Amino acid sequence: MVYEQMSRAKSKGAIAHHLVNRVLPLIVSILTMGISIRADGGNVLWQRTMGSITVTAFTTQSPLRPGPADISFLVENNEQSRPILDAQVFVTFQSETGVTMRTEATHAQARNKLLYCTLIDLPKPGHWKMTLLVVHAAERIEFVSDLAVSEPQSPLIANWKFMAFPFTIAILFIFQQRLAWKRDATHR
Amino acid sequence: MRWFRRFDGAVLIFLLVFAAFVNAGSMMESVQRQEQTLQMTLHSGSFHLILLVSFLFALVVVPALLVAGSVSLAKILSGRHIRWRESVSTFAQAFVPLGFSMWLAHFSYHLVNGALTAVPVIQRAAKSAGLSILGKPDWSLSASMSSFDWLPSVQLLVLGLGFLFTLYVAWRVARGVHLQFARTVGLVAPWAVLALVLYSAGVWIVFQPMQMRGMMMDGTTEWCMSK
Repeated sequence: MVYEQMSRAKSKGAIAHHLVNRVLPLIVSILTMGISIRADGGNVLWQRTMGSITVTAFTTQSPLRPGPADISFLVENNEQSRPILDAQVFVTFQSETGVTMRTEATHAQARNKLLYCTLIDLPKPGHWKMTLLVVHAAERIEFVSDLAVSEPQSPLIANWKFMAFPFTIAILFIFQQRLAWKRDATHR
Repeated sequence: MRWFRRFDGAVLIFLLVFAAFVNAGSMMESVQRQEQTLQMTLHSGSFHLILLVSFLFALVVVPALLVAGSVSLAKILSGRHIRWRESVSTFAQAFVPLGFSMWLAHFSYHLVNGALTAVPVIQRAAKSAGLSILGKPDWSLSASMSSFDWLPSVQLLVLGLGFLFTLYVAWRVARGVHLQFARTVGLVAPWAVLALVLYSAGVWIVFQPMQMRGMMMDGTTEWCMSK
């Protein structure tokens, strides 16, 4: 009776030990798997100079796809090599079919306050024309560029990490069990 | 825990596990279209009859065939004679996490999308109780669908964890039979494949357009507002 209770307590302890040492780190590693680190603004879309102003456009997504897109602009005075922070930046997106969207890029929406950021919901894929109007002091400078919006990504590809993790863990577990089995066999 | 090893308990577990997938699957637009096509093809007047037959097929016939196949294959691959009732009763418990994860993934979808429905319902209940402090029920909240881009990822994570725990429990159960490594793998493999089939069905369901039950659409909002 006492032996039975002891072995039960021992097995409970083993389960707790197993949970803390193996299952918990596993869950933590899964939860942290999706975290990615990006530089301020993201990838450079283009850089143009016109007059005394140089503008660099960034996007957090590459390639751009339909849905919310974060596009930022760094406006610099190329004579003094410093960012211009008191400009007004207006962006117009025009699709091939004539759909037009207008927005203002501001510091308020940017994490890096040196940038002017706009959050735009791109409705469909295709070639878009992006017109950027920078108003600074008495200057109004317009930059026109092409913007390629790719087809939406398959949800299976977009979520491949979430689908791959059970298989990865299962395969590793089988290998671990195989090794443990061999080890037990040699000890016996 | 002994309850989990009883045959009637095992049957109930499989019924609830398959019901999780059938319930979610039956709310998919493509499945509903198929049911309507079937009704027209068979010239059946009653849609309920079509539903009854489809549910019987999906909840009884298909699971029985899949489980029977797993039992037979496990017997062949493990080389050990295990009575089918014992095999079903032993491995059914392994499917609890997968079934639970599918129920959770499916209901969390409806809960998150229809969360705002609670607001007009509470407003209406308050109004019925004579409290005007919460104002007139705003039924338009019930029809508004927000975009939750993160939701499929969470659903997949939940399903993946359920699948993983199912494999783990199945492995622990198979280890308890005390066979050689290869035979233990053979014993657990058919059940793992069955879990994989269910998991794949769950992943497919997550990405399908779903009927929005519990939300007021197709003119229901207007009807409520007129009341």
